[in-house]
Amino acid sequence: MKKSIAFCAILLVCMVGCQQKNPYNDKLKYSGNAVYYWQTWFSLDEQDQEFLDKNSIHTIYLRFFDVDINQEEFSNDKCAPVATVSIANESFGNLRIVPVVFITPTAIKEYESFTDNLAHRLYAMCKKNSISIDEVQFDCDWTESTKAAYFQFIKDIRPALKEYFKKEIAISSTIRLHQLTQEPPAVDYGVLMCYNTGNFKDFKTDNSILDVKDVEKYAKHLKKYALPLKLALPDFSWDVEFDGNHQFVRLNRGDYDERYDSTHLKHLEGNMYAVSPVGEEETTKYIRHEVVSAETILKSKALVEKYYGNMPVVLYHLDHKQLSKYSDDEIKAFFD
Amino acid sequence: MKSRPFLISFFCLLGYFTAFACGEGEMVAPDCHWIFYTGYQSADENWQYNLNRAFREENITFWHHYVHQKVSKEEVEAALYDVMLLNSHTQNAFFRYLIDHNDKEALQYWMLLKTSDSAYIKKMQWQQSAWFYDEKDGERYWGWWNEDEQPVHDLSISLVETLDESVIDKCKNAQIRHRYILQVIRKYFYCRDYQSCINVWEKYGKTVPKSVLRSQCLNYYGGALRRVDRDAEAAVAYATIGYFNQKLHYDVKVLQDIYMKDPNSEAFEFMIQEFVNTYFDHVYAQRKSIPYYNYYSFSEYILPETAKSLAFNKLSDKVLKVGITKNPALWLSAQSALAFIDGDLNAALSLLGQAEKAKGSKAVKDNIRMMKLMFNALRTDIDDKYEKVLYPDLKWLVNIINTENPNECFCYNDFDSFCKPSKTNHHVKVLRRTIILGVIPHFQRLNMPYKCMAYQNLYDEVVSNYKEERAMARKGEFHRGPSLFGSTYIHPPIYRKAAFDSYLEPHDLGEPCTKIVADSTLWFLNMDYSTDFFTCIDTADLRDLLRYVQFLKSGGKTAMEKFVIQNNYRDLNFYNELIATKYMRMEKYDSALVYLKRVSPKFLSTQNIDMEIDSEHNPFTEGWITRKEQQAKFRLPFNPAKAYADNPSKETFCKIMLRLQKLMKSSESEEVRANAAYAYGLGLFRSSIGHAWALNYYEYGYNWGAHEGHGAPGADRDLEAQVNARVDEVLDIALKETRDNILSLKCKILHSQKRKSYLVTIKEDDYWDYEIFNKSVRETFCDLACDYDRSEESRDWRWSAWYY
Repeated sequence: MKKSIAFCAILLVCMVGCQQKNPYNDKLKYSGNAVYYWQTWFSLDEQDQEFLDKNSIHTIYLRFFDVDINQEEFSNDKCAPVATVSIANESFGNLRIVPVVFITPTAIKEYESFTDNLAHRLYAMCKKNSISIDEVQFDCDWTESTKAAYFQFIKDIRPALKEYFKKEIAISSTIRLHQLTQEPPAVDYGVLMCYNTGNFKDFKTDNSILDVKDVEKYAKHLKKYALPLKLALPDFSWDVEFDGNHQFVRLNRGDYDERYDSTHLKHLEGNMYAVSPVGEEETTKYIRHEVVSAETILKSKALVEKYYGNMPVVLYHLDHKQLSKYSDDEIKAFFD
Repeated sequence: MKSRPFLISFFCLLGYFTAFACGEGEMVAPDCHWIFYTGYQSADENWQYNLNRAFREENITFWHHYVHQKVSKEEVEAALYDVMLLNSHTQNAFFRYLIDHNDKEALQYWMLLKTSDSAYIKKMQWQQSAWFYDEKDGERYWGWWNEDEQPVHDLSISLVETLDESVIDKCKNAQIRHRYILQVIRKYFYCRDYQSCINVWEKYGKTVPKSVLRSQCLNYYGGALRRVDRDAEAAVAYATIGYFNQKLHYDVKVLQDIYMKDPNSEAFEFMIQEFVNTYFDHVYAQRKSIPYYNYYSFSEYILPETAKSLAFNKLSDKVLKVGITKNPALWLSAQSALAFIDGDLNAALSLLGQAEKAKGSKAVKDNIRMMKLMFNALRTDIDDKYEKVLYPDLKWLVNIINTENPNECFCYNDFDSFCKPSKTNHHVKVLRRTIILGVIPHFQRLNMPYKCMAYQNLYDEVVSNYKEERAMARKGEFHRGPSLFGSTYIHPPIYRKAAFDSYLEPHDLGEPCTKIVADSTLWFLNMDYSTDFFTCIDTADLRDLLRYVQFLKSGGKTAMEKFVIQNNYRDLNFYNELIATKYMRMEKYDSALVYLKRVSPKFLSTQNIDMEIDSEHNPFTEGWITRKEQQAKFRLPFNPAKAYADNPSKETFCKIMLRLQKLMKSSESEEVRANAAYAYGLGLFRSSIGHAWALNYYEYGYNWGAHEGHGAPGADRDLEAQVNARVDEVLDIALKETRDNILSLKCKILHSQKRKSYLVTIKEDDYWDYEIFNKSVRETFCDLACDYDRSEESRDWRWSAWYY
């Protein structure tokens, strides 16, 4: 552990020495430390609160709901909100809450049908839960084919939010690495998602959460990227499950060691495990346990900052079980 | 505590007279207050909805007249309420009329309103969309607005911000101005600007004439007052429009506050009515629940209510002592009602006596008279001169009911589609309570069942709505009598106990109810056979029925008797036919024939059993014999089956049964006697339990289900058991007399068939006692296999036995 911290420190010193100054830092409001909260039940326990206090985190990007194609047969709405968060907190103290809405690529094509309703729903949710906001973030994996729709949505949602909230609401957007090759959306700033870099469905992928090689492919575009950015770093892990034919089955939480009996589990190599069949109908399956080391996170951070300059960090996401994998110093280093 | 024994005692009386029970209209509806009534129809849960509906009708009529009926009502309605017209309203004839006549005021009004409407529609659409998030719990739109509705979203309000007092001031047309007043009040209410809402009504309200529109305004006004904690004024506003709000109207402090401001407030009549009725409901509900939920202590339930009664009496005493009230009878009669509910009939009567002498409004005085009628009826110390006391008040009440429009007598319960057509309102309930709880038990005590029948008949005739239908049926204007569907509903006896009174529970009865030997009342009947009176006479002793008919024919001696008979159903065909049927059930066919001869064929053709009495339902055929040529073969001088088929009727049946009786007794031939006994047993069986049941019973309606099983589940089977026993006796005679193997076999099969039928029908829930049934079949089949010859006929019989 000591070795790795020392290595990270040296690496950081080297990187900082050669990095650019973030040209948009001045334009970024609320550039302090932040975390994402991505569960459907929002309640901060003592450990969460301790983590926030310890790391001077005053902003939570709270996923409010996802927008997807409406599955209801007799509904007039083409799209509908799904997996809405239930908010248990009655007050938020000094915490600044930024609602985040994830919009699926298919739903964004139908943005005209829900822009007003989405603004109305955000307003209603904030009102019901006594959340005062000044910003909303949208998360969408837009591509060349859906770019126009997403950009128009961003354009339309701004006045709609103003109409409901009776004030200007800042808009931010997540930016995926591949989106760096495109022109940026007309938002106030972006949060560069430095994770989900690989194709998790591919058996050959080593780590789909974060691979420095993948970051490297896109980082160079940051030089000319004309949008203030924050940087989102991953602290989560997951297990990718494949069948005997190496076909993707599902994503599980990164708790394979709890999920499977150790007698059925065989370590193959690296982060790959084989699970021997339990029942007659079962066949061997493979588990790729993906977890990102502090070293990889810091390397990636250093890499993007080399091209863009220093960026405020948002950790994805607040889950003390996941965060316990990292030492206080490592977490401090993520935010520094 | 003292109230409970009292209530139990009079409910016990009910139990004894269950045969005289009244309609199922009382089956539900604990909300149907029965003690106190002033003249207001109490608000029910649909009050808001009804008010809105009434306003819609009034609104359409108003605008229809406004345009001098030049535009159709449908167009006006579309203009006013069709949301699809929002963007294309100029194409609507109503708006075109206003435009063509350059009616700027009306157009301006409508422009504002349509803008407002669009705001409502926006809200409605939002609330019904998948995106809706309930920012205030319970806000979702469920179909109509009500007084407690949350305000529309700020966004919508901004659209109607121009709707304020200035539009009222500017408007010259008084009628449109009144409509502006409502809209401005409504807008302020929805914007939660309750003070402005109150101010507008207080400034402009006086000019609004009494109308549904005024009620709408007062509804919002009351709601606004309530929200700024002006409870007494809110209570008055609601009382003015007859809207019951339990928090406000069941609170002695609110009553006191109103009294302090205005000792003669018009709201008192409504409020005190609701106070007493709510008290009754609560006390009754608690009494009802205690035996079932005895883990709650009695005091926990009853004491808070008693405190209400005490507080009211204290206030009332004060009001009466001060003497400013112009309606002391109201306060006194309310105290009397509370005393009655608390179980002190003497105190109730004493207070009612004082109330009778005190000053009071007409509604209160009428109510006192009705209370007197009920309370007196419940006295057990009344003597045989009671009818003299009863006569003027009962005549008065019956006259009120007779002059009421049946369509306005709403039914409280949820069984509209099932219950027989009858009036159900407060007056009917008073009549019902008086007759069923008081008068009938009184005559039962005097051992005068014919009088009980007469009063039961009076009640049914007064409250029934089907007199016209019956008259039409009698004139033959219906082909087969009026439709049975949806018109009849009679409870089988086992349910009647519970159905008798919504306030009557089995535990209230103390002793088990008197056993009812119900005959036709096991079934649902229509028209003449759907009344409680029919239940009564059909189950009554024949001698009592004969005495009643005698009374009916006499025309009565006293004014009361004459009045009762005048209000009775007096078609003698009906009674003679029933008497005849009762004789048939007793196998007294000669007496039955005497009465049947007095019944006109036209009457018979309109009976609901008419379709069932035909050659297809021949009581002398054995349906269980598979080969038709083996059916109805008797070694007799005549063939009963053929005789019946030639002229199927009750009369023919009686004649055949008489002839068979004679043959059984006096024929010299053993075989003839045996065959006659078999045919007689067959006739008995088939006319009661078998497919020719209509000879001894009446039709049951379609609501209940199929014919199989002869009656409702759990119904009393005494009569059938008796018939079964008689058939056994008769078949035994046949078996003793005959030496004919085939007849003996037929007897045995009938015996088994009878037992099967009995088993099938006696068990509930499709439960058959297979063991007994199989034993019976097995025995019979053993007989068939062992004891009888190998002839072709025997083979057929064996096959028949196999078949079943």
